[in-house]
Amino acid sequence: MVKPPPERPFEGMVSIHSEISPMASPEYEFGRASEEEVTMTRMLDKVLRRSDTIDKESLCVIAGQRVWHVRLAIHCLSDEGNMLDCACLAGIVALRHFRRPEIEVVGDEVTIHDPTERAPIPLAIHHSPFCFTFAFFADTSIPPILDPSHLEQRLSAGLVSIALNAQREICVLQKLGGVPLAPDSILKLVEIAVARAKELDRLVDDKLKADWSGRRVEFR
Amino acid sequence: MGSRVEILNEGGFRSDGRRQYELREVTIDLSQQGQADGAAVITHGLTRVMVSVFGPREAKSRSQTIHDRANINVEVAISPFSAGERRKRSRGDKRILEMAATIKSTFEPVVQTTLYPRSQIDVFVQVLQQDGGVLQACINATTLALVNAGIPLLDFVCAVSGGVYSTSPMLDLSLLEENDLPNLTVAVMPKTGKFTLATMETRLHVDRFEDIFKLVCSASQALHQEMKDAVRVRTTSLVTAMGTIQSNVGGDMMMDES
Repeated sequence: MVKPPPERPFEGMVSIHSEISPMASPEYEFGRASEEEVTMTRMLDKVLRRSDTIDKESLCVIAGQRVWHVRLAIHCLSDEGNMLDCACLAGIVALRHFRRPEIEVVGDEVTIHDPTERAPIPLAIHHSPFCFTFAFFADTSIPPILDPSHLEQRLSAGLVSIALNAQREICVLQKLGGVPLAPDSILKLVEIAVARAKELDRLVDDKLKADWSGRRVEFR
Repeated sequence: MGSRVEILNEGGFRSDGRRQYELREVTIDLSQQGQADGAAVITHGLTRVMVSVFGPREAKSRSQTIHDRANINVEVAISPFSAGERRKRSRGDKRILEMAATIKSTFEPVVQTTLYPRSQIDVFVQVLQQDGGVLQACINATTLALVNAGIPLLDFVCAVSGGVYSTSPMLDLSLLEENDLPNLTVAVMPKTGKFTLATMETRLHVDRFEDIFKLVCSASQALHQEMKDAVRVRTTSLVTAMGTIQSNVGGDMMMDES
């Protein structure tokens, strides 16, 4: 729990830390952020933070004085291609799974209830964006492929990342350089991503429900 | 209506008096700047960006040498006085690094780097005034500066931004509109109609996306004409200044190359 910045007294804070160590793949060097890494970190920031996934106002405890600060740390353990999609999925599932302790405000007093005392409550989440990356090849006879592996990514001549939610809303679309594409092909990719997002959303919902049913809330 | 600014009023006008599909005024200055091999200043309304290009020249360090093509090195600087709020951004700022990487990867497939192995092309981008559409201005200015430097390109790269206000698509957003609306920037190669860059950062429904995307692609054609004219004027004036070739014929001949 922290003091909010003066320009946004009603909003909680969300910060995303991603760590890519040489453990993930020998390509990454320790201590120095490569260009790839910068793009990935920025993309995570855009997908999970800038697209208003979390209702920041619900993280406010006392306006201008105390707000929740949610810290999302992503550790990349091993990279076999398309780490971005994986990191986004992990991030969004973590946010949906996370429960914060309940609080009580009486006047200016804030009491934080221990999880053993009162059941923790989930974060208010507006929507869950999922990221999909397509790889393109210099040889145009090869169609674009979804979720490229490490080898495919190295051989590709351009990546397109699309983040969208199950409500058919595109949150982030990113194509940085690479082979020039015809406008129609991107619209086709968006359609594919829409269908995939629905599937993934269902899967995440089921998994979260299954996990939740395994946990017990006791009333004492 | 009171104090709230309307993005698009009932008469179909935007806050700065433009129509929905109207681009802001574009001015292009291709005059020589210091030691640079090519330079360009472009303004889109109140957004102004200056780009200087050096090269192709020998790569400074071994690590930047690529044996079969030229390395494009892009550095972006945002002047502290460019925005309404005075703020100094360090060179290591994530946003600036990302922008530089974006510009670099946009131009890598367009510049014929294979003609200059083991060399380096330096692109220095200086944002002088920001009023929305900074990325599009940077990309357009870089194209012009590269053309001005005589570096062979496959095609122009024309970038245009667009946004959607409830259901009506709009082009070339100002800062005020950019803050409120979902917006995207697309860089198109006008000859083939293909695009090399597309970025969007805000939530937008898929159906709306299709409209605005097509609209932006067609708007870039108008911008292409504008840029081509500026290059033609500059080249013609250079040729007349040299006085070697008849201005009319020479001007046309030079254009075929760029």
